[in-house]
Amino acid sequence: MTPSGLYTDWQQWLLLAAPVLGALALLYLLRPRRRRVEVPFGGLWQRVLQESEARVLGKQWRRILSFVLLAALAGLLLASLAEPMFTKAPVAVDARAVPHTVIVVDTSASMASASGASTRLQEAILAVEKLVDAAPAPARFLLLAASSHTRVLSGWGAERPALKEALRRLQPTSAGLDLQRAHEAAGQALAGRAQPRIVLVSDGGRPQVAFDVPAQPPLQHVWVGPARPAAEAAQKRGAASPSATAGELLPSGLANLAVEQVRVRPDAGDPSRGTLTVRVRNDGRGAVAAQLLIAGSGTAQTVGDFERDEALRRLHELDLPPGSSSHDIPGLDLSAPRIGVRVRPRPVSDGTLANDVAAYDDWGFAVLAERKEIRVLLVGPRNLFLEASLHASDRIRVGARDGAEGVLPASAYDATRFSAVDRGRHGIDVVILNQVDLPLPDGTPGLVLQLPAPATLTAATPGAKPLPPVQYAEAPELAVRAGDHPLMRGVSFQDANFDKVRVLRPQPGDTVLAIARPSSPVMVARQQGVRRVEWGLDLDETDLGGRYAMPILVDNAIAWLVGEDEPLVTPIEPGRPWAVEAPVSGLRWTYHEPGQLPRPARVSGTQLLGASEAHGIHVWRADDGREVARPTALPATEQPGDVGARGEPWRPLPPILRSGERLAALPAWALLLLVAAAALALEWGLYLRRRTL
Amino acid sequence: MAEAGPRAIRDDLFDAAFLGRVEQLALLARRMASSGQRAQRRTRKSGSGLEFADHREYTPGDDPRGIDWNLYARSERLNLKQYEEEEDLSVWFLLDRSSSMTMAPEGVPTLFDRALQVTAALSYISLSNLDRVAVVPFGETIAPPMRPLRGRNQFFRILRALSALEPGGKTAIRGALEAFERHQPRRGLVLLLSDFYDPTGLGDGLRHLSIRGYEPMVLQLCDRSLLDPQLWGDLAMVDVETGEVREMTLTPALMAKYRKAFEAFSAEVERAAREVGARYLQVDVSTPFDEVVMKVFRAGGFLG
Repeated sequence: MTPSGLYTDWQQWLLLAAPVLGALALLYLLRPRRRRVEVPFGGLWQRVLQESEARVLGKQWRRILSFVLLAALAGLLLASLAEPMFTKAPVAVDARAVPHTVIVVDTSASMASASGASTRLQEAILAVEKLVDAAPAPARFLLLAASSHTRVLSGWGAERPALKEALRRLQPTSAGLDLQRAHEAAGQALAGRAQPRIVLVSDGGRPQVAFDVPAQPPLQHVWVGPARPAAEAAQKRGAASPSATAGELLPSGLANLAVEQVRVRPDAGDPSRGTLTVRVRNDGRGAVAAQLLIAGSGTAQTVGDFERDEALRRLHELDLPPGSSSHDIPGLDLSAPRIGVRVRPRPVSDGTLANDVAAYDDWGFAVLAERKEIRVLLVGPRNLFLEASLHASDRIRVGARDGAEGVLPASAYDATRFSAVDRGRHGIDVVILNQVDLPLPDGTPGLVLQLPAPATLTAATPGAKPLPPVQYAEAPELAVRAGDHPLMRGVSFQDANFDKVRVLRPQPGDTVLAIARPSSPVMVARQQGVRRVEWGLDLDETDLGGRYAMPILVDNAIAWLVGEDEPLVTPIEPGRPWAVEAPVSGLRWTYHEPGQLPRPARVSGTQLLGASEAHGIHVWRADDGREVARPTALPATEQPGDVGARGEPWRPLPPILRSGERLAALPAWALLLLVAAAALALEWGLYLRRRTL
Repeated sequence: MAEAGPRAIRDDLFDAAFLGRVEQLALLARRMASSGQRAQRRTRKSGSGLEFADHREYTPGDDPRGIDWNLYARSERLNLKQYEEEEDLSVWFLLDRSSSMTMAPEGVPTLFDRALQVTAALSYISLSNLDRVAVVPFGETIAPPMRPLRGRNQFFRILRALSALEPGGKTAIRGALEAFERHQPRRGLVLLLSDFYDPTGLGDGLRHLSIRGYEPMVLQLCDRSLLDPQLWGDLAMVDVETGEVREMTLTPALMAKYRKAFEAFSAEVERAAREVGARYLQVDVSTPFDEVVMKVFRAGGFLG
C-alpha cells in the first residue's frame, strides 16, 4: 500500500467509523441503568455467581458468544486500519492464476448526459469502483478511457487506490465512441495474460463501427444510463442486445435539445448580413418551448467565450416538435465570422430552466469563410451588365496584379500568360471568356459564355467525323435545374426573357444548372479537374443582365470557381483526425485548441494535421498573422437518447466473482456494520429477556 | 473501648418494657440454675476456697498452715490440703459493629440493634450472677477492652456504653480477636455476636482465642428476610462494607442458589465453632431478644 493510499483509506474509514462509533457511544450512554442494591456481604453473591455462571450451559454459551462478537468487532476494527480488502491468500499468489481485466470506460459525448443527479460517466465510475472492490485482491486491472481514441488511464496493477484516483480524473469528451479501436487496444493489452477479460462500461452509445465480439478475450458489458434496465432485462432473458429508438429511453418529463447543424447564407448584394439556418433536435416525447441564443464573435473558441454578453446577437423563442426541425433566422449580422448557437428550454416564470438531459450538445458552431479578394480577367467584347455585375461585389477586382488590363479583347488575350503557375505574379483567379472561342489558361478556372454557332459547321480536318451541329433554343423558358447548387443559390429566371440560347452538351460528371424547357441544358458546371462554368447565353440576346439574378449569378459563379462556394467553412468532428488546408505553405503555425494553451501545429505540406475531442472552434494561426478556423460538429452517434442496438451480439458471461468469493465481495464497511448491528441487536434482545424475568 | 461517659441510654432499645423483661429473664435464669445448674462458676484453680479438692506433697516454701496434720499422723508424710478456689467469671461480649450489621428491611430491627438488646440482657443476667462483664465492639480492629464491671448496679453503665456505640466499617474477625487477646484481658467466656460476614472466615480467630484459654461462644445473627428479597432483573449489588459492585441478573433460580449459599456459609460458621469446642447459635433478627436469651441458656455453658 502506498502512503497516499493509506491516507486515503484512513480518511474513508474514519468517515465510516465515526458515525458508527458515535452511534455506539450514544447507545452506551442511553443504555438502561441497573438498579443498585446494597447487600451486607457481596462475597456471598460472588460465590453464587461463580457457581451459577460456571455451571449453566446457556450462560456459558452467552459468555462465549459475547466474547466472540467482541473479538470479531475488535478484529474488524483493527483490520480496517489496514487496507480492508478481503482475500483468501494475499501472499504467495500464483501469477499465472491472477485474473487480468481491462476496464474500458466510455468517455464519449453521450456519457455527459444526466438523467438524474449524476451523469452517466459518474455512474460508470461508481460501477467500476464497485467492480474493482468486489474483485479478488490479486486481480490486476488496466483502465482504458475510450472515445474517438483510446487512452490508458492506469497501467496494469492491483492497487485499488491508484486505479480509483485515475477513475476520478475521467471527463467526458465531445467525441464519439470508437469501440473497435478500444477493443483492439484491450485485446493487445491482454495478450499472453492469464484469465483475460474485458469489461466495457458504457451507456450503449452506438459504436461507429459495428463488429463481432471475438471469442477471446470475453467481453462483459456494464450498462449505465437509461439503457441499463433494458440491458439488464435482456441479460436475464439471455436475449440479444437491447434496442431502443432515440428518445424512448429518455425518462418521461425530461427533454433534450440539441443543435444538429448551423448554416449561414449571406444576403445577395450585402454579404455582411445573412440568414442563419439552424437544425435542432428535440429528443423528448413532446413539443418543447425553447430559446435560440445566437452569438457572434471574432475571437471566441469555446462555449464560455460565446456566453459573454458582448457576443450575444439574437435571442429567438420557438416551439420545437419532437425530432429534428430547421429554423431560419434572417437578417443576421455577419460581421463577426464566428457564430455560436445555443438551444435551450425556455426558462419558466421563476427563471429556472427546464431539465435538459445533456448540455454538451446544446451548442453548435459555425465559421464564415474568409472573403478574400478575387481577381478576374474578362476577355471578349465589353458588356455593361457583365462588368457591372463584377463591380457589384466588393471583393472582386477586374484586372491583373501586374497592371494588365482587366478587360481584354480577344486579340490581346494570351492564355499562357495567365496560367496558374504564374498566379503569384499576375494574381488572376478567374478568367471570363465572353463570346470568344479561346482556351482558358492552364489551371485557371473560368466562366465561359458561349459564342453563337457559325452558320455552317465543317470538319476540322479532312476525313474526320464532322462536329455535331450546334443547337439553339428560340425564345426559351429557362428553369433552374439544380437549385441546391451554390451556383444557383438565390437565382431565379422568372422575370428574365431570352431570345435565343445555346444548348450545351454536358460531359459526364458535369452538373446541369439550368435548362431551356423542356430539357435542354443551358448552364453547366464542371467540377472535375479545374472548375469551369458554361453559360449558353449571349448577354445581348437577353435582358437577364438587367435583372436581379445577374449579379447573383456572377457572384455565385466567381465564388464557386475559386472554391468559396460555401459561405461557411466545413466543420470538423471532434475526435476524428483531420487535415485542414492551409492557405499557403512554408509558414509556422500555432494550434489553438478550444480551452487549451496554444501549441505548435503539426503541418504536412499545406495540410494542418491534428485531432481533438474538444467541441468549439479550432484555430490555427500562422506567424504572419494568417488564420484558419474550423468549427466542430458533434458526431451524430452521440445523441443522449440514442442508446439503440449496438450491432454486436449479447454474450451473457459469468460474473467476474466466482461463487466462493461472493461473501468477500461485500464491502468491508458493510460487513463491519452488519456485525456491529447484529451484536447490538443480540445484546438488546438479551437485555429485554432479562428485563422480563 | 473506653468506658461510656454520661451519655443517654437509647430509649428505643432499652425502654422500661425491656428492663422489665430483662428482670424476668434474670429471675428465670436463677430458677434454672437452682434446678440443676450452679449459679456461680468455679475455676479449676486451687486456692483458698472452702471446698476440699485434693492433697499435694508439701515442699519448702509452702504455707505450713495448710498442712494436713491428720494425714501426717497416719502416714508420716507432709501433705498440703488443696481447696477449689471460687473465682469471678469474666464475660466478654464481643459485639460486631460493622456496616453489614445495620442492613435490615424497613420495619425490621437491625442485627446491630438486636445484638445490643441481647448483650444488654445477658449482661444484666451476668451482673446479677456476680460475674464481671465487659462489652467490646469490634470491626476491622478493636479498641482496648473496657474494664470489666461487676455488680448489678453497673448495669446502666453497660447500657450507656451500648447506647454510645455507632455501627460502621468493615468486618475483620480474625484481626479483631487477635487484637483482643493481645490486650491480655482475664480469661473467661467470650460471646461473639456477629453476622460473621467476613471474607477471611471465622475459624482462625476462634482457634486463636481458644488456644489462649478463652471459652468462645458464637452467636450468629442473621436476617432471613434478606434471603427472600422481592428484587428481580438486572441489579448492581453493592457490598455495604467494601463498596464493591457486582452486576447480575437476579432470577428465582439465582435466589434459590443464594439461599443455599447462605446455608452453606452458616454451616461453615458452625463448623468453625464446633472445631474449637465453642457453642454455636444462629439467631434470626426477627426473634425477640428474650427468646434469644433463652436459647443461649438452653445452649448451656453460659451460666456457671
